[in-house]
Amino acid sequence: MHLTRFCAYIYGQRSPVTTRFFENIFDLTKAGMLFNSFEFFLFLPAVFLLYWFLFSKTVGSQNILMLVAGYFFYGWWSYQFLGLLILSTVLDYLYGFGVASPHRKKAKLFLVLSVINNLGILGVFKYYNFFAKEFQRGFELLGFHTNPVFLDIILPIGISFYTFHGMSYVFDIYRGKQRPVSNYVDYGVFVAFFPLLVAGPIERAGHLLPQVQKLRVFDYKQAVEGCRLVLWGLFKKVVIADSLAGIVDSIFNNYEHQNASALIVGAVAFSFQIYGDFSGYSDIALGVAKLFGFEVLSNFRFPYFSRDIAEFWRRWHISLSSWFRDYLYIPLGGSKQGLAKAVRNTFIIFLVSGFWHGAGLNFIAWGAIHAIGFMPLLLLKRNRNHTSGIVAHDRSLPTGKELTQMLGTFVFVTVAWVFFRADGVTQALAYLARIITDGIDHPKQFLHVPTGISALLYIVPLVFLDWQLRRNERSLHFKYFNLLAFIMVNLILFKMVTSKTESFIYFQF
Amino acid sequence: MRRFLKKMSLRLVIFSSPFLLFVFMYVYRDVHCDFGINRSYSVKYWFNAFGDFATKKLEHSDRKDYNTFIFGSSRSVYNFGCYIKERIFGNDAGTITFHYANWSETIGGIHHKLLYLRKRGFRLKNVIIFIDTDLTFKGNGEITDVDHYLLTGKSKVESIAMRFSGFNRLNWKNKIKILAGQQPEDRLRIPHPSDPVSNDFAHYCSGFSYDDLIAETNRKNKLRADTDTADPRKGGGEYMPEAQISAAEHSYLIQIKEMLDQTNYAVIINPLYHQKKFHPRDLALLTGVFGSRLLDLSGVNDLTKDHRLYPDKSHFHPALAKRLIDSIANNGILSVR
Repeated sequence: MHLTRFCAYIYGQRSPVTTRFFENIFDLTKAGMLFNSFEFFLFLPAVFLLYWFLFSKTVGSQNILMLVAGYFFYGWWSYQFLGLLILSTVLDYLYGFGVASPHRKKAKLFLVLSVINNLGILGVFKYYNFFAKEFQRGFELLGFHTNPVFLDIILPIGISFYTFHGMSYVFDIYRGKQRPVSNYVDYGVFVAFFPLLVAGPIERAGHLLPQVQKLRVFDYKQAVEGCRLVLWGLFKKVVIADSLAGIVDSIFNNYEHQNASALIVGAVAFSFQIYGDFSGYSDIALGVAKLFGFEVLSNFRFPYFSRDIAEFWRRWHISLSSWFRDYLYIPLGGSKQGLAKAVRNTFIIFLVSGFWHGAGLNFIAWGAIHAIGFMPLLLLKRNRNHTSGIVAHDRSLPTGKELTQMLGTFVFVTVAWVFFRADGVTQALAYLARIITDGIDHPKQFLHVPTGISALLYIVPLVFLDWQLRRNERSLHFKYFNLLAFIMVNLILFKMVTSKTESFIYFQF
Repeated sequence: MRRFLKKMSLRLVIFSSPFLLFVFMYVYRDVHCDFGINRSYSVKYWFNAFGDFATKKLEHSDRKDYNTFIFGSSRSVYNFGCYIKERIFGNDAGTITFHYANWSETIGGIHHKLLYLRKRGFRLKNVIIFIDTDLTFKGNGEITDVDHYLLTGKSKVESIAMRFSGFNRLNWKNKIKILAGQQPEDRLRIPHPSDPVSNDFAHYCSGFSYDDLIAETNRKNKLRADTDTADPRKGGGEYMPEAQISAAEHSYLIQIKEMLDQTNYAVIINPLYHQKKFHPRDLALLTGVFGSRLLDLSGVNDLTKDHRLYPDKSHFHPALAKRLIDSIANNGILSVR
């Protein structure tokens, strides 16, 4: 709203209409500065030009600008919660020195304090109401009526991401992989680097901090690649995911009145909506980071071309999976301490991963389903079958076996997504049950064109383009990119002016 | 760096050229092309969703098409002409209503609209002006360009710029559809096909029922009937903290009164959510100009007592609009002519 007034002022007329014009444009301020918002289209070039023209001489000046930009970016959503971000950053920065102590007891104490601090923030803001509600429900089942206090607070965006940044920093110091950073600005940029601040990818101190501490020099190729990634990400978000959102919402919100074929379309469409949404966000984040001379971790590597669930998790939300692997699964013993512990640890990380995504039983169920899907691979020791290379790397098309494997994995993942998208476990089960019962009762429906079939208009081009791009996992170099860019730019612009801008799904996590 | 900026800017312009060309053609057509293709088209959309759409409609109407005009802000969207005609003007067949309101209407906007109607030769048989304690006298009575560009006589270039600046994502597709003579999407329609813009009442009033509209709105808005009974409002019955009517606005009021001397008219102070009354100085000025033509329904009263009839703390629920029209009718401030 501040920018609204400011722009109305510089526009030269302080009339209500002028103000309203800017309010129309900036109507997303409540949702934060989304990558697909008008505010961000002003913010990004402004920071870019300042960065490379005025602040490019020293690493210190570059970092000060990036830190201010990060705080401004976050404060645009909520300046009150900016305080929480800064507090969390300052505490982890200070704990870092304690954790680096040569005395292990002291180091462990500070490590524990840091974990309590970060999980405490998460616990209060993200999970408190969930636990209070579930305890209340549990006691009521036992016949006791309780009246717990519920907190009337909203979830600070990006809280799950920046707390994980902080924890990875102190964990790495404790494990001797990272030295504490003496300069607060450097550490502040690591936590509040605006392309990653609210929805990742979750960076590692050992990967990003060395880049923060080194002078960035403008690289033409890197910047062009960044622009391409931004465009590709916007296309996936604005054109694909937002278009699918309408179809998905209309089916999920009235699932009781939909037939089986429409429910299948709804589930499949959601699989691509969440992929377009989150991978689109990640691509924009990667692209924007490149514009400022940073290389950040990949988050997606064509997950729907996975041949089993284990490969899927090496390709979906990679930064989170690897975070849990390195800081939870391996410290718990990983798969090195016998099969029983491997099974236990696998369940733990999938359940925790589900719970990380949301304070709801449906998210835990989603994690559990993936753990169950992972089990046969673990027990048969086939969970590392597809660790290198993408499917059909040296061919145009997959083999019949590969196609079957990919389709099987996709169906499994899609069933699990129903739990993720539904309002609760009960709704998810009812949704899936209706697919079966209605499908059996009315098999002829599958001979007709199902409701929501227009989703294919968005799914088919996405799958086709992903298939073409799959060999160069982080690069968008191919022959007809300019033609594709021409089409994408116009589709994005038309979609942005004709549709309500949707928030990114992963902002809520 | 400079090479990068140059190349990227050039590509962006080239790549987006079809879009930019479309925008230019659309805006030009929206502002300047004949409304004729929609002349027989029943306009039944929010007046405030289309900028100066209402004036555009009048531009292509005959001066005998309408003789009863309703002015006000978006709060008057549910003050349906059908019901006004039925309750206040005794279903007089010669009364043809035009809802000439506007989003955040100021007294300057109302003044300009009356001037326009007079210039066009419309007969002002009946006029109801709804004014708001918090909107009508903001901005020193300025007429707002974006919503009134056809009235302010802006140049073509300025009009296009104004129209462009009034873009609203929500309306884009519907505007295109209307300009192409097609049916817009439902979401922009008011809940009842009664028409606050052009009011082709011979067509619509027969099927109109406030009760249906109220029931439909309750269903859609899930009126907070049971759960939200505590009134959160404070300061009801107080006066606005500051006087608002400037000398220029006072002058507009006097000119409006002069233009309406031969008209059956009333000026209604809306019963707003905040339950505040005009500052005593403003109230005295308004009474001084309009005398017994002024009906003050603001403050704490039967109309404003139920806070749940303000779905967004600003606009009225249709049930409140209906009661408002009943109050005007019961007061007898307007005669049947």
